[in-house]
Amino acid sequence: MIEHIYGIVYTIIFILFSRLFVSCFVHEKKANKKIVGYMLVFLWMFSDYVMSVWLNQNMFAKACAIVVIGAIFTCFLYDTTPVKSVVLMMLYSGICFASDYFVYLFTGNIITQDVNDNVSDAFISLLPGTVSQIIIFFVIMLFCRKFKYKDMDRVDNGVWLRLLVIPLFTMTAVISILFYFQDGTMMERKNTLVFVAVGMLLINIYVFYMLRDILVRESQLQRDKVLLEQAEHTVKMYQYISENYEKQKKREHEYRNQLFVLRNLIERGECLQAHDLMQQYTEDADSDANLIDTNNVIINTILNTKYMEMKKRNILFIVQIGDLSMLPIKNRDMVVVLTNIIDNALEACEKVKDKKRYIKLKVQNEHDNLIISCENSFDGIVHRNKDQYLTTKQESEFHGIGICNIKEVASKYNGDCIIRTEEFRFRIIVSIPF
Amino acid sequence: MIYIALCDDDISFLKIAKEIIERYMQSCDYVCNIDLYQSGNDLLREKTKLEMYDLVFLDVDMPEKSGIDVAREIRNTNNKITIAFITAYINYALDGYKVNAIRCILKDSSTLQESLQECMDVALIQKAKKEATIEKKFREGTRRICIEDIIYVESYLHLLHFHVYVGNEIAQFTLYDKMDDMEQQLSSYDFFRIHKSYFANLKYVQKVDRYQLTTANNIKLPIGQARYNRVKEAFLEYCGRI
Repeated sequence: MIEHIYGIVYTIIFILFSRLFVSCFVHEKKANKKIVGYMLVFLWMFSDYVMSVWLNQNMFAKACAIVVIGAIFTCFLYDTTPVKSVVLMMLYSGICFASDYFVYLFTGNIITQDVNDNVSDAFISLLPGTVSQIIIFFVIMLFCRKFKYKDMDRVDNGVWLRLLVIPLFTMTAVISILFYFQDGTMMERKNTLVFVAVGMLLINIYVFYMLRDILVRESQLQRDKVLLEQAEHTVKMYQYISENYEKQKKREHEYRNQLFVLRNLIERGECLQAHDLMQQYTEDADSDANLIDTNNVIINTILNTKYMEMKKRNILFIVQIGDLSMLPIKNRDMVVVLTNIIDNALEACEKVKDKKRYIKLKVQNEHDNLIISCENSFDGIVHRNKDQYLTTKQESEFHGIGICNIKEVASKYNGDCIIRTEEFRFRIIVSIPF
Repeated sequence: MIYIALCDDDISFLKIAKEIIERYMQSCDYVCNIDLYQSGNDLLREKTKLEMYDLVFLDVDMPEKSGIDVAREIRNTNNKITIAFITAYINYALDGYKVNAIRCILKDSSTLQESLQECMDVALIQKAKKEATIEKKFREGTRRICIEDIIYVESYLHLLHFHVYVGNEIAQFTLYDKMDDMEQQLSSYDFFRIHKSYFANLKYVQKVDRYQLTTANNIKLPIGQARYNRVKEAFLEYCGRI
């Protein structure tokens, strides 16, 4: 009786694991409704169990049948070709066999021949079987970490390590049960032991799914934060452009007035007065003028506004620009990179008290690469958390993502980004190929 | 001693700029000699003096001949001289002529002093680089070469082969020495050890690919696999220098 129960549990676990394994490499079919999905999985379990009971004598036939059934259902449940499904199922079966064999080698030496063959045979194979399942679980988790949750890099490795504690503990517990099994007195407790072992395995799986959901949600939160920052920057950019537009309109209006006055003066022969007035008008015009032209409206807006900002704060701004009408990246991403770089530089300069405050910016196309390089003076203290740059700002949780954003844009376009900090000099250089 | 030429049609600006530069050089304990020109043609006429100047400031909006044209004519014969533009606007067209100007200084009175000072700092660094030389007893004879002119150094059969620009040609010089020692001697310049047997000048590098580097004149050099990432970063750092 207990073998049947274990058989069913084993099948369920087998199918769960193969689903996990396959999902590392292919995506689920979005078209399937949830209930259809559940029914398919149930059918899969049912047919698998039937096959394994029917072909119990012939190992090879059983293995083939399981691979074929698995491949068929994988095709239904996932977005993949039949060939891929067969290969994946064979891979997974391979892992199972390897794990079983490994455990068999290990326990073959431990379980003695004295044990009563008929009844205990089934039990003897159950415990090692559970150990084997745990090993497979381990391997699948590693696969998941490597292939499926790649983009959750931002989530600490520490979390994953903590995750590993549970299966490790389970494995040691079950193995120690196996050891104690040799002692004759434990035989009566075998039901309980098996139950405990299987129970621990199931807990493992449950915890894994739970943690996975948490991790997925966390990475989603991070992504949302980043998107929010990007959106803020875009909004700011549009504000700049509309402010500029308003200023332009005002200037046009003023021009007309000024020309009118000048014409009057000249008509009346008051040339000296006209000349003085002209001087005044040109001086005023200079202060508002857009001094930087890169042949790219958006970049011009950003640079000119930031330049005005720097003049106000007494920060020396050195620019080297070229023709930026053709960019290898989308305007939106250019805004993200530029505004983040310059804002970081501005904030750092603010903190410099007794030295010269400067920001040097280079945005040029060189050798088929777009080079964005910024050097600024700073007070020498950089906060880092391994690969991430923490902020010196107050709400540290929200900022400091600026540099993350820059690096993300760089890697999105197969470019590079490096940061160099020296005693009082901070440099960030981004290169994006055309 | 640094020789500077200032070229601008506005004489009051010339005087102001000269004063700022002289004062700054004095504070750095550096002797400088500044010549003033009111038109590009005047400057171009003085061919012998042009050979002597380390740094030339050119006003972009000059009526007779624009600073850009003056720069191009200078570059026809002289690639070593440092050029800085003085302009009312920073325009992308200035970069398009590829005259290798180190700075575009705005005629903005509030920042003029600091901009000129910063420009002088950069120009002095460039001058030091141009004048750095190394004298070695090559097999072809004892020679003094400009470190900036070295394209790359290759180690082959216990010999170091220097590939150097002499005028517009590339010459090869050989020397009995070890690569590591050479690397040590040239460590404070813009070189990088790209391979166990190759040491390249980042100034002439144009492209860094997986395990191969392209320099000027389409010379391809191998990059050691383990060094690839560092070579990429060093090249990027060099490209990003302002």
